[in-house]
Amino acid sequence: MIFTSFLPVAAILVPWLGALAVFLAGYLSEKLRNLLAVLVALATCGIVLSLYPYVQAGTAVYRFADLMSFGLYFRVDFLSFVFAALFSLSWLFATIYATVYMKKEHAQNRFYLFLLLTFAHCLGVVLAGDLFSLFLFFELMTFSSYVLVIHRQTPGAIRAGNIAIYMGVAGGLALLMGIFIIFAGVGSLDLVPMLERILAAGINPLLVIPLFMVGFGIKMGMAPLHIWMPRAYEEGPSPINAISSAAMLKAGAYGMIRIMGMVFTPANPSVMPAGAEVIKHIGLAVIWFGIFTMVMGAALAILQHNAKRILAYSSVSQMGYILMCIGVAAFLGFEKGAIGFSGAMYHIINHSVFKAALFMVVGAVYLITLDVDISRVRGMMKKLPFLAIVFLISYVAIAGVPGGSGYASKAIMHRAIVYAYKYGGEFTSLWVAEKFYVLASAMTVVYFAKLFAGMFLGKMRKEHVSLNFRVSPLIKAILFLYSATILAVGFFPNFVLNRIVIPAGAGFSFDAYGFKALKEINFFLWYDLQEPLLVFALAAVMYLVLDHKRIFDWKAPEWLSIEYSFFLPTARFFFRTCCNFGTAFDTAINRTYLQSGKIATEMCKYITVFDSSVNKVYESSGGAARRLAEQAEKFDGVINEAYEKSGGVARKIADGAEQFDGVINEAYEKSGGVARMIADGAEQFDGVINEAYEKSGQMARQLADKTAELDSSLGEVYEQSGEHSRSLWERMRGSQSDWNIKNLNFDSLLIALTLGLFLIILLYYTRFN
Amino acid sequence: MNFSQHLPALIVVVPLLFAFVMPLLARWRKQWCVPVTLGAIIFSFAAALQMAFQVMSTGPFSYYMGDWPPPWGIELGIDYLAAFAALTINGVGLLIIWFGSKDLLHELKPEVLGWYYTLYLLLMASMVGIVITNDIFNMFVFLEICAIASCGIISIKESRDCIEAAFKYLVLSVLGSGAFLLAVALLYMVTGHLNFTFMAEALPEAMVLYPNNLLVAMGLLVVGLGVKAALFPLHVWLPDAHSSAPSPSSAVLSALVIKVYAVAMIRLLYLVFPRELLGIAPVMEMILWMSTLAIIIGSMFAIVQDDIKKMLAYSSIAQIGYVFLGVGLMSESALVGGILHIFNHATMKSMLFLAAGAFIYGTGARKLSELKGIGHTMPIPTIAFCIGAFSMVGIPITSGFISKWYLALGALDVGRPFFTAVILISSLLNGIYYLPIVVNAFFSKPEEAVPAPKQLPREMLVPLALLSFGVILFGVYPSLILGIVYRAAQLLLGL
Repeated sequence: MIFTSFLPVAAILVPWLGALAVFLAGYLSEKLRNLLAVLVALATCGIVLSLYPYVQAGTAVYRFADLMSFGLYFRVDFLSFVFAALFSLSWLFATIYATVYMKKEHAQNRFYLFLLLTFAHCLGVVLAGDLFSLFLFFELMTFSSYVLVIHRQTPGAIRAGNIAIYMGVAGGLALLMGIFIIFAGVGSLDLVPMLERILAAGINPLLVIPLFMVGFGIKMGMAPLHIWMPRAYEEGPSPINAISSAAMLKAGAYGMIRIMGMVFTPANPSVMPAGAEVIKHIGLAVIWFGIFTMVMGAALAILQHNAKRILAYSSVSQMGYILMCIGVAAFLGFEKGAIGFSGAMYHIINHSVFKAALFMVVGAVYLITLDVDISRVRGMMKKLPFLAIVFLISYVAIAGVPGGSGYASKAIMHRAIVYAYKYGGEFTSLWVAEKFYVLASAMTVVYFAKLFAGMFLGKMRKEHVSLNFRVSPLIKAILFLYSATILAVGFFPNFVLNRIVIPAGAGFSFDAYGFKALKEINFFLWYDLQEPLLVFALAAVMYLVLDHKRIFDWKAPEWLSIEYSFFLPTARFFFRTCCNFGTAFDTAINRTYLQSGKIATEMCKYITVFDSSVNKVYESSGGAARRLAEQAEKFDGVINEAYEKSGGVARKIADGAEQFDGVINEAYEKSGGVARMIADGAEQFDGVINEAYEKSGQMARQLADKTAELDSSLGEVYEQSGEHSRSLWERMRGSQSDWNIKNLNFDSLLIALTLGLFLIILLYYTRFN
Repeated sequence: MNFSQHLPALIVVVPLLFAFVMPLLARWRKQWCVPVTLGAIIFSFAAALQMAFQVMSTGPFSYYMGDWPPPWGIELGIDYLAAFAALTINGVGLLIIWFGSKDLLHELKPEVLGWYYTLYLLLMASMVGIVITNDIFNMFVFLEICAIASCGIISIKESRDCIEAAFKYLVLSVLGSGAFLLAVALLYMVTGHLNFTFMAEALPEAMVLYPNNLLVAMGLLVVGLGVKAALFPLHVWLPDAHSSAPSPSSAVLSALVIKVYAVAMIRLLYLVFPRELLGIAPVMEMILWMSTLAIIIGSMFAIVQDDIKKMLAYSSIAQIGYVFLGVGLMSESALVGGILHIFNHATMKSMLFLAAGAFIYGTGARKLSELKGIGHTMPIPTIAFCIGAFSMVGIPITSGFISKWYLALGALDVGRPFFTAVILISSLLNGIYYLPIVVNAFFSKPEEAVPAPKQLPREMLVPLALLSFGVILFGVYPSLILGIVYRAAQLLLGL
């Protein structure tokens, strides 16, 4: 049955709008704000729980078609409901707890605003009906929870927040990449089994699932992506630690379950599509990631002194258990996978309860001592017996002692890993995995023993004796509720299993027989009791050895941590690359500049050399002109002579003619006079020509002088301009010190180069294609 | 002939006319400058809105200047892309100058204020002209006006940096124009037309006869417009120009001016050049790689900046890369993403520059380290900056996410997941340089006591608030604008 219901939207809108109302109310009165915050959490809780009838009968859906171009889609099935109920109850208690815890903190309005916003986004993650909406709320949760992590605004908190947010954003992007690939291939992002369609679209799960694993793994603290957690937990206020552990980590686990257990499973399990066996191998890898996480988290927890850090690493380790079970579910697939799924779900519920209780106990101690380092805060048992008892009950639960809630879930998880070995085919490595599982469980017992012994036993320090050891009744009430839940689940494990865990498996492609077999488990039989006994024996030995060898106090060298050996160098390398790249670019430009400056100077030199040679040419050409003029003068003289000679000849002729005249004087008297007149005219003409020639010679000489002058002045101009351009280059070359990208020549060069490259490539392609 | 028929011409002519009225007003009626400028741009905005509705209801239409039909007269073609771009230009330009009406008072000398409005109106007119014209030579003319006006609004500040940057911008932009003009000449040589439609008809035949002419023209166009649009590695002028200019100028240059050239390039490559030519010559592939480099290297350069406006300028280089990535991928989704990013980036980058301008106005602080704790003293600009930063990173519910969504899907549609990864990695890089600013603004305390900042006037707060509202609105309801973008992409791809 599919019901259209506005309730899922209301469950997100109420805390969202409530957050704003609480923020505004904070300006009026603190009490009103706190009350309103609790009421909003309560109302949200009520809305979520009222979804129960729908999910019992089917699913509740609501769709906004137009939003964000893809549409927001809410779809609540039983699994979503379980998570949402878990989150809203945790948030309700954490909010009540916060009203006591945060009394003396600064910026409380902001705290409540983001506490409730994060609540809304966290609910959005589990109520979302497709991967797109899930991603949307996941991303919003990252950002709103950031403000909670850095609430104290100390340098340590800012640093923790930075790591958290960058990893969160990177994880979100990995997730988005996976979503893109699935959407482009399949065309749908619904949370339904669709392995067949994914494989048919040619998507390789080996490439896509790791993207999701990174995205969700960062949020759930999967090693080696857990490094943001211990810092963030140490710096965040206790109520935030409680909800982070109880809800935000679980949101990551929820995503993992949806991807591994649902989206990447076949819709029709009876016909396995070709290529589906790769899922089994991925499942195996996830199992090992889980084992690695649980062992590493436990080992690191043993080495810590800060109670919050111990609990943070403990959360890492416990998430490893859950991850391992998700791996088993994927590994065993349809036939036996139900056990893995149930183990993961059961432990998610239990861990939410007892880890929240533990963080609240530590927070209550912090409120009194303002310190949670167990090398200083000791011997609280006498003064704070109630907290010690709650701590012990939670300890019983997390250690898996029968009677505590963790016992049943650990029993199922142990069965899961055993089944994986038994039914999963020939994988000897799983036999080893089971041993690691036992080892991690024993280590859990050890580090909690260390924490308990440190904080509650031993001798109290002098400065703590005089403190006021009053625990607020509200805190006591919450812790009482938590302890009661732990014990109730511990004594009646089958109730939770049958009513909550197994119905949540509806909609998954797991064999119904698997669930049926689970229903009939009696946890208090020898088969399941063996494992805790072995664990405790191992833990006792381990504790004694570690205590004797003083390994508890051992401080691990920095290079051992993943952060120092991998993440920080990577970040440093990246920033160095950015800087180097930038300066290299600048330097290259400057070099080009310098080089072009040098070339220009050389060229200027050549130009001046050229100038002077031109000058010489001019000068010599001036000389040549002078010489030419002289020659012309000489020539003139020659012509003069020739004319004079010709004048003489004419006179001689005239004399001859006179003699001739004397011979025939009388007869030709008149004609003789005429001839004389002609001779005179010729003489005069000669003189005129003579003068003209002389003048032209002078003119030529003057012209030659003028050109010579012009030459030298031109030469000067050239030399001056050469000098000028040289100094211009010198100025434009700039000094080595100003690293900038201000070079026009270089820019134009770049444009020319790009253009050239473009054309060459274009022409190449047309010529040869 | 009714009034609304002439809107395509009026949308250019009205701001152009008022641009030349402005110096007179500045001389006689100083206080009228701002209202008249705003009025002219509001008119253009209304006209653009009307044209957009008309295009959406009756399809693309064209307007003949002076009733001369092409190929003789100049044709203005209003298609989906033109209407969309005109709307973006006028809408964002209006908010920027509204903000600027107060911000400029402290950045400019009083005697040049009137000239600023002249230049601004010229710039608006030329940008609208570039996107709506259907004639390549007319486009060239508008390109020149645009280049000169944008140099003007940088150098009007008369500081050494501004003039240097403006001079550099001028020289490079003229080089770009030169390349464009050469390309126009080459195209005219082989087709005999200047009108896009006629050119597109003549080109398939010309391609066979004179392939080299066309290739050279295409190279010149891509490089010429690439210089103006600051496509990597031709971006070298941008960081100086955009960071030294007065804040409203930076906003309009980064948000609108570089986009206009991208629109011009989209139009030329998709509508004018024959598709076969794009198949033969790998021009799209080259644009793709240039944009990839722009996205990654622009972000890497932005990370090491410590001046807020310079960082924003480098970020623009990366963001223009997204637009060209959408152009180069040649799939419907990617083109939708690219065109949508023109709008989204215009809103968010103008908002970021205006917020930076508000910080400078209030405290005089330009260095990122001086902005610690500014979230408490100047909440509204900081929240606006914060929303802009989230949008740049691509957080859902902001508009930046939508364009990245389409671009990434477009890359996968053509089977190139590498470019999807590029988009996502660049989102992370954006986060690396934007988020610390937001964190410092809200959660760090300044090292020394800082004097209380100047109170921002309402004229500066309202545009910031409107822009941030727009970023969220178009992030949640992208369908408001997706309709026209989709049709634009389909028209361009010939679907």
